[in-house]
Amino acid sequence: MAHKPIPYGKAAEAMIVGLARSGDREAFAELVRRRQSWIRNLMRRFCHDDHLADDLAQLVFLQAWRYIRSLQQPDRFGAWLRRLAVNTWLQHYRAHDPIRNADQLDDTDVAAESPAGMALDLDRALASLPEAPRLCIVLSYNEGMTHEEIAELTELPAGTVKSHIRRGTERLRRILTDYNNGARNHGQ
Amino acid sequence: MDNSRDPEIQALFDSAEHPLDDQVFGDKVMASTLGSPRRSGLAKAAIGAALVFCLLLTAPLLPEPALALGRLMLIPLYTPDNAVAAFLISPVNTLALPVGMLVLLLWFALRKLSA
Repeated sequence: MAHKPIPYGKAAEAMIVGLARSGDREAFAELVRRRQSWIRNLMRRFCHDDHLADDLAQLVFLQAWRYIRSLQQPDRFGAWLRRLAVNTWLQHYRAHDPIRNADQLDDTDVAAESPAGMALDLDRALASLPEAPRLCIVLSYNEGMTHEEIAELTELPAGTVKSHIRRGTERLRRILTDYNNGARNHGQ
Repeated sequence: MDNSRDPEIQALFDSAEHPLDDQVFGDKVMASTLGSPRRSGLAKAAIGAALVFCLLLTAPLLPEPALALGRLMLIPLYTPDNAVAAFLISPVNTLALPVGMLVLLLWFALRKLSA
């Protein structure tokens, strides 16, 4: 039988969160509809793998369904969901790549990752960053979070966050410059 | 702390956002939540307490294998995920199993001593 969603229209998210907290599945489905694009895009920025990103996003929403009762302030649902997303990504990363030193920025592969004339793809440029700097960059530029907020969320020292963002930005800028130079040379 | 961002990189991020809304993803999420029923903390505590109470009532009448089975029945209420959820949601609920098991252990110990 075809499933017909309840039309929530422009109902306030906090109200829908309240309904979801009481176990209303339709309300939770509405939250998934409203937030899926944001979470899926965020996960794609983190992991540079569309399928993995969708699997992780699904896991984020599953966690949200399980623990939404613990959310005390319905108007903080977005921040709470983002925290779940970051934690889900960190858990996945630590479980699958625990040896790699995420605190180091290896500059050796910049040229290989950004050949002249390469179509500039933000996700590809981000993929050239190690995990921790990439996470900090995404949270800063994609989510507009301050360094203090990122430090609190990722449990990294504030100085490390600042360093990751500064060096990550420099590296992205180099890739951008390489691309622009490549495109200019290609056009001549 | 300086939170300034590179405007060119910021513009790149702003322009790279593309909508990812599809019904299939939403349906997959909702299907996965079906396999993850949420029991309220109170309901879980009540079920756990009722099972422990039944075990206590029937313990003198039951053979040892039946008691072992009864104890096993309590385990599905506290799978790792649910235990975490219970711990987050209700400390009282989290205590239900350990307290119940402690009572059972005391009961068995007293039975052995009095035998």
